[in-house]
Amino acid sequence: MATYYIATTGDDSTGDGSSALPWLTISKAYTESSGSDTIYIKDGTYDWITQTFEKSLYIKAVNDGSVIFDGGGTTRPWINNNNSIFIEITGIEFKNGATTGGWSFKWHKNDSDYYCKFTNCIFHDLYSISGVENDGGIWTVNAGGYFYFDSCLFYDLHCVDNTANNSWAGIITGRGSNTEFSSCSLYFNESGLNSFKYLTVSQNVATVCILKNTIIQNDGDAIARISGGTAGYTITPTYTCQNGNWTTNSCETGTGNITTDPLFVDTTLANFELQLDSPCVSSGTLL
Amino acid sequence: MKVTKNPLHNKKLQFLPDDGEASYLVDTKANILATTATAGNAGFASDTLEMFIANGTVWEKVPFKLIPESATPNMGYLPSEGDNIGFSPTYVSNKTLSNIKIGYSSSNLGTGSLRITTAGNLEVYLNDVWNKIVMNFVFLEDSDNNYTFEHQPIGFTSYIEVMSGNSINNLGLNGLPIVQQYRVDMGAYPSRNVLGGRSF
Repeated sequence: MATYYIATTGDDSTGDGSSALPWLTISKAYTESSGSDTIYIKDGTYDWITQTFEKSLYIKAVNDGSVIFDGGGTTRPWINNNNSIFIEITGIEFKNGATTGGWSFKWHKNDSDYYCKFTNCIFHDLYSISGVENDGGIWTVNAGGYFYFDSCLFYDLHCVDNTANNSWAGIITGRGSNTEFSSCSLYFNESGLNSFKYLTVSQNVATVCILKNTIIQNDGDAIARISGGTAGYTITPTYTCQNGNWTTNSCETGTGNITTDPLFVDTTLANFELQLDSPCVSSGTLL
Repeated sequence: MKVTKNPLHNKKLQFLPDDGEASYLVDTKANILATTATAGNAGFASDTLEMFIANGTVWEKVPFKLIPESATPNMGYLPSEGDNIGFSPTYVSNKTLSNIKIGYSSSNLGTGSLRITTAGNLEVYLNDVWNKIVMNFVFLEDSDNNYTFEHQPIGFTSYIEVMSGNSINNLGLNGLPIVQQYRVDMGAYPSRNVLGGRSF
């Protein structure tokens, strides 16, 4: 299992992927890597361009929180498009998806066994397109897929409009997939649109979504739906806070769940630390 | 049954069956296995002292081995395949125990006994009492010769440093441990634990 590096000062032609001579782009590192290799990304802001993943990889920031992939409003997605692979992404911020809509992450493969895990990642300013099914900032779908988000932040994920009540939202977990959010914060603040889906857990096939030690707040005046779809779904929050305008609040029952304001420090400045008197302090679970 | 010479091996016995009877061969192992495995036929390998029964398709070995009669046989249901070392407090056994299940016991069976309690604790009987065996603890040393003693609670995916109660390798987005003093916040940004003061 080899280790490669990319850096904003790297060069795809003269580099060799080492820490001393890193490449510039994730696509070069992907091409040169083999399954189960690790790609380390050095500090800096990178262009977020389309990349399809068809082999297992670890993609890690050298320093968590110091690596940004910026789509500049025109990004195309990272796509997982193969069976029986795993991809783990750690410590990276993804922002500014295409403002005309579309998915920024499209993790899907029919009837396969694969998983994706995001740890310590931040996602913001991603958009869904109007009235188009299978759309959203982050799309994690299909049977056999397992998705884990650990200690991740999601904010300013937008719906373009709500045509035909069909605007899929910032995050879609559906079509039989299994998704777990653990110690995550999700913050939405949309106005003027009702019944759009910020976190949907069903798309024609029964789907499972687990929330643990997680905060979901819709701070806008639009009434959002945490779930939807035509097939059965199971959304299981435990020790989770769901607050704000929702058609249904899954945290009104269940072990350790609360519905009160989580008291983020300052959402206008994207500061999602907890205030000292937040009801979420020491309200999670070890297990 | 007719008793005759084996026509292939002149000095070997072969018990030829009448119609409907099985045959019993006494021959070398190789020769027995080379014959047709007619169901019910039996063979004794004179060179390896093994027994074989034919099932109609192949010869199958009877799972026992002949041993000399002894006034002091080995313990156990089957003769041991190795030596007898191990059946003594002065030897280290070369025997392997596999697929052994330890169950609950209310008796004090003696030093070295193992049991699992109804509460799920694994215990060993030592110094006249049952002692709990601790599990999921690790003692680590990093490259700077710093030591940590960590515990992984059952069902938890990360280790927690015992003295601080912090998950030192499982951090939130602000770099603070997800678990602090064995307490967990909701959300991606763990709050900084504030120690309560006391009045003088």
